[in-house]
Amino acid sequence: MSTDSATVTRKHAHHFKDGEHEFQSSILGVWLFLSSEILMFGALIVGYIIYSGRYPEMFAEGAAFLDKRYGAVNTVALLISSWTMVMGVRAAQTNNNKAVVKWLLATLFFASIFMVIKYLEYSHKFHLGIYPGKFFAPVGEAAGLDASTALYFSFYFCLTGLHGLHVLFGMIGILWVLLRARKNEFSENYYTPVEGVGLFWHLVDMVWIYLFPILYLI
Amino acid sequence: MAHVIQSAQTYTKTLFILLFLTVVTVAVSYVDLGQGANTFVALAVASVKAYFVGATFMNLKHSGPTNIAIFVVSVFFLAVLYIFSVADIWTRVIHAPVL
Repeated sequence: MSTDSATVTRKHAHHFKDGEHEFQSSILGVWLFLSSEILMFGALIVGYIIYSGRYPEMFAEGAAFLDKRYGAVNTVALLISSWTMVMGVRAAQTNNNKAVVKWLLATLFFASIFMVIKYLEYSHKFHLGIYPGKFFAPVGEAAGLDASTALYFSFYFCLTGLHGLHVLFGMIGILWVLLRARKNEFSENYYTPVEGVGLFWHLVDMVWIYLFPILYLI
Repeated sequence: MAHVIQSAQTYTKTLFILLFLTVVTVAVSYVDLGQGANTFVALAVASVKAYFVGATFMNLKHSGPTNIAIFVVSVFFLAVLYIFSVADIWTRVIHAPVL
């Protein structure tokens, strides 16, 4: 079970010394990309922290309008999806492509839970006229929101929207790896794409680990 | 390839630590410790969670020094951005127009 004899053998690209050299170089590239991601999300979070420090009442009023329970369930969903992802990487390292497919399907499942809850949260806000920027025109139960909370919700939509896009792109990456695992392409000697997509997925999880308390709890 | 393959138990244990810390951070948000203390606890717990994700799930613990350096340097420059922005904005003197 742990050794899949049908595993496709793969030769490293010609400009690398060997498979290990190729793996280390690829993962280094992924880390450089993640560094740019950390700085992009980080800059937005720094902006958020500065504005929330300047206008604490406005941000508290906006944050009180979010439902902590949705945020908490989404945190749990992403944490579990990170675990299923890393178990998928482990399956690839131990030559078990069938298990890679299984773990990645589970990862997609938990990612979908996250996106469905995000959809519910967004549609609830849109329904109440809570849109980003100049489109902010709260009605119904949100009618009491001060006009200045538009700034809070602009940050909210910007941060969660960008993060949500990352979840979507991560899901596409996971699907790509899943299809390759179905063709038995991975083994202990070659699992670079599984590891790379996994690193991206964990970063998306890490960003949410900060967004959840910042937007929902503080 | 001589890659460190961590045991499934290590990953599962890490998941439970992360879930436990999520419960802690949600629970603390219902207790009023004062605005500053609540923010500090929430961000401290988030950073402990980020450490576990980075060290175990992203395998930085068993990764070469280059990958760790890239991660640490990104966080360092983020801190630089934060400190200089805050130092600028909090020390500005607003002059009323004289005309």
